[in-house]
Amino acid sequence: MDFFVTFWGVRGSIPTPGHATHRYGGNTACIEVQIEDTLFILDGGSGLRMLGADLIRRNKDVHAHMLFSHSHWDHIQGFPFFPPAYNPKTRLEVYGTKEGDQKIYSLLSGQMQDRYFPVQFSDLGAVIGPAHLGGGGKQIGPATVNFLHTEHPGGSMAFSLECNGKKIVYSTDNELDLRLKNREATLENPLISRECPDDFIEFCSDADLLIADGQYTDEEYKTHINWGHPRATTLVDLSKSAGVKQLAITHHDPMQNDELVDQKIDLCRKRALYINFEGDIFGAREGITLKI
Amino acid sequence: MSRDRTIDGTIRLNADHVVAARTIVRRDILSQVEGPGSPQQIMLIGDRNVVGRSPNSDIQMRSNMVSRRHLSLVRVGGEVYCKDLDSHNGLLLNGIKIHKATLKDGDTLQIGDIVFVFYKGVQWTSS
Repeated sequence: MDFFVTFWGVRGSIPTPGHATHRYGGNTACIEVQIEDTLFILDGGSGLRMLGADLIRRNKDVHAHMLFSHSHWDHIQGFPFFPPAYNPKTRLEVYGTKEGDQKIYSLLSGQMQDRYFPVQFSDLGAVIGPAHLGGGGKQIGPATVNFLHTEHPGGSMAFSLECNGKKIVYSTDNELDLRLKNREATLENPLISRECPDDFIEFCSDADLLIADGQYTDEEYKTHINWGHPRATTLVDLSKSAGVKQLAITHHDPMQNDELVDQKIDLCRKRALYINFEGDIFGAREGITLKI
Repeated sequence: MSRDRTIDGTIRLNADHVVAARTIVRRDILSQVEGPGSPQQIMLIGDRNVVGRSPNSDIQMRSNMVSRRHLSLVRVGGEVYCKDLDSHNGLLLNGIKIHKATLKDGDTLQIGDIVFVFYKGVQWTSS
């Protein structure tokens, strides 16, 4: 059973259209994961609009399981522009963590109040309902879904999807550097091995694909500590420790044009050589579908 | 044939000039840079092209490392999408194995031992 993973939005913070970001794309966070007939949507940044247009082109009724890492703008702003949400044949399940947790569901509807948007949430045609992941290991279609709270102002969640021995992890808006066991030493000397927290290594263990927030270079991070995003290079250490096979670095900083993203990925590949990580590393880019 | 020049120096073309002018078109190009048959430039014509070893392919590649129908290139709304057709050796985009992607200018595509560079909207002039 294959996972088809499509990147619809890979930018962090704010949509960044224009020639300078044409290659990687300027839409904010949105990933589609299709496992047989089960559709997962990971985050609903501005990339969600393009996913919606593509779902309309596929000409099938949409039943999607929507997992939002958190409710910051760049992860929910695409929802009012998601064409299937206006179709009465669409079913959208919006997941919180515990039963009764409707925080994300409420915020999606809140951003459509008439002061912000001309169409009210209650006027959407789709059947949109809150759902929950529970304590862990929620079975959704053929996949088992887990979550882990991550390091971000206001909180964020990473998700793992497992099915038939395959596993992908989506971990965005996670300042992993704050939780390194040897954090101070790695700030003084970025070359030394970065000791990642055990819960995160376990959560990502043996993932076929880790899609992770790598917003900053080491140099940029120095002036962005506590902003909620890690050094991209730290993901390489995490990937090595967890036995990740392929690392997709996403949530590119809006100040990074295509060349700067290239340079960031090059730095990660150099670190992979330095610490002997043999998995693939690439910069997530809009419009790419991987088959896992 | 004289040209009408305005006071600011702009040349005003009349119908005769237009007929005489060359037609400038933009084409998407696959430039094969490695593998049997290279180097060669392949202009993508039409909205769908299949690349493979089969003689029935739109773009035939004579390499045993290429599947009979290896990849498709489909143009939709000005974009060109590449898709692996369940080939044996897969499709690499800039070195990463992918299933499908929107191609951007300068992308490298590899199928087996054949490497292409995709150039978008290359200007061609024909008389």
